[in-house]
Amino acid sequence: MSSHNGTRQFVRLTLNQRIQHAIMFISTILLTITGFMLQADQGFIDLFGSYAEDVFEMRSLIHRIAGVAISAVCAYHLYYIFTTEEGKSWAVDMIPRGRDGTDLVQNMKFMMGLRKDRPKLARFFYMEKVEYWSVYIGMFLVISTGVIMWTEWIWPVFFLDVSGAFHLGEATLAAAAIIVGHLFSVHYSPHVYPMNRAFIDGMIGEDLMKDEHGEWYEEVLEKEKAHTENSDRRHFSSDRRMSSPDE
Amino acid sequence: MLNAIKQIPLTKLLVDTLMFMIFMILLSFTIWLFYIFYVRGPITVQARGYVTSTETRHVKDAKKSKPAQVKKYQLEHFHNLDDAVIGGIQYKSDCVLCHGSFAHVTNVKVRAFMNAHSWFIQCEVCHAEPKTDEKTFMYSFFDNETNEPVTELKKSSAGGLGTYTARIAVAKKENDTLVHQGVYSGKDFIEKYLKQKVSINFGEIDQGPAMQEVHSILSEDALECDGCHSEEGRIDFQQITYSEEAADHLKSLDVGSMVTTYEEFHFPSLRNDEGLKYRRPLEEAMD
Repeated sequence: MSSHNGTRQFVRLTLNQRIQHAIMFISTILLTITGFMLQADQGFIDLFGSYAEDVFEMRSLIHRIAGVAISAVCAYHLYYIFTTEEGKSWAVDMIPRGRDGTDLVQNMKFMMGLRKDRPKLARFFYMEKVEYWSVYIGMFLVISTGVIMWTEWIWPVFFLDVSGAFHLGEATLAAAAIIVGHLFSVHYSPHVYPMNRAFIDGMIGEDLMKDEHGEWYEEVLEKEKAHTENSDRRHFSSDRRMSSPDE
Repeated sequence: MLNAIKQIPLTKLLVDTLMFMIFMILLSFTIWLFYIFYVRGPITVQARGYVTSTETRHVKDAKKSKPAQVKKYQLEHFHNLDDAVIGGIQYKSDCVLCHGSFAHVTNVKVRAFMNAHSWFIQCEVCHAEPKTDEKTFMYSFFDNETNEPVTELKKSSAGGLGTYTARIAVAKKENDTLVHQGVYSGKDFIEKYLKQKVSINFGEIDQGPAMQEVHSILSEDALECDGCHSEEGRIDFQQITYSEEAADHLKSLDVGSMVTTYEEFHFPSLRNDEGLKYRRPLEEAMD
């Protein structure tokens, strides 16, 4: 927790998480561009003129490099959530719970004007959980089918056809979900426009924290209060010990 | 710094403009996604497998060709006419069952030369080891339709040399008769293998041994230009019906050094408006 620009700031993403996110979003942008180039009409390919072949060769190479990068970050993320305290806390907080359903209903009521206050949401609310776990399913599909297509000479054509269909379908779904869901909530939503800076400096402002993660905000404040009290107590007992003539 | 008219901070104006532009790009992309799925239909990327290249002389890293989908886009518009021509060969090499009529794809510089040779030379002439028994094995033209050896030129009714639809293949001399020798006698095996390859599992034929068996007759490096077009060339051009003058000309063609010496060839473009008028419609070409 820190304070600058006059408002309190809370840590939303650590440096490690921000690096994972950065690799992921750069790779996703590259994969989207180089992947959907294959769906381009001939007129688009003609724009490259005599360079078309070189451009498509680079497309192929960049797509594979970005694919390897995103696979690596996914593998690291699994290692991260199973082995580090920070990662374990992240994964535990991401586990869907019964209260997510309640939050969803209450939040919908709030947005439709049937409820006065927004429900106090936890560190990750239902929407973020859906986004997060969807990435697991999506990544499993695109990485496995991508590997099959990369090693096409060892697979029956049936596998390749199915892989191609799944790869394209999942990529389209992911691209649409990122544009409609994620980019809206972190860039175009009035609460954060023009951007939620958490992916850059890892911090979230107090107002947004209260508004979108009310319950987590209170938990953090309580922990902070308890920590301060403990620290004062230790300080006090330490002073007492130090001043004791027996020591 | 303020905008003079609406008193909007310039930085905010710039950010809004940027965000609006990004929004429009994302919106266009989303609309395009709808278009490709619900209007045009997605392009199915055909998996045709890697093609192992033997054209190692001119391409440093030509172990494998680029993925087929890229080639598909670059080649399909050009070679539909050629396919009609090659389709006329009744006794093709078994290689085309898997590799297709335009197997030379890796080396952009010379693939047109090589694919054009496929019209009148069977794959095994360049890609198989020559038989050591030169008395019985040789090369000859064989008729594309009857597969009979073409051993002499007949005058056409117009007085010229006539038109022959034949290609050079490996021949074996049996009782003073030339018999066509295919590169691989297991055509049924290849067809069976290809059939099971599109099934959901691999089937009874293991891929590795099958590939090894089918390719066992091939030489590691394919014959290059001067393998035929030189005094020491593999083919005796006069023996296969060329005149002495034509044979000398074929032997002295310096295609090899043209390929190795020059970085770029300049062919007339057939894709722009100027070039398109020289192309015949497909239906006309197939008549």
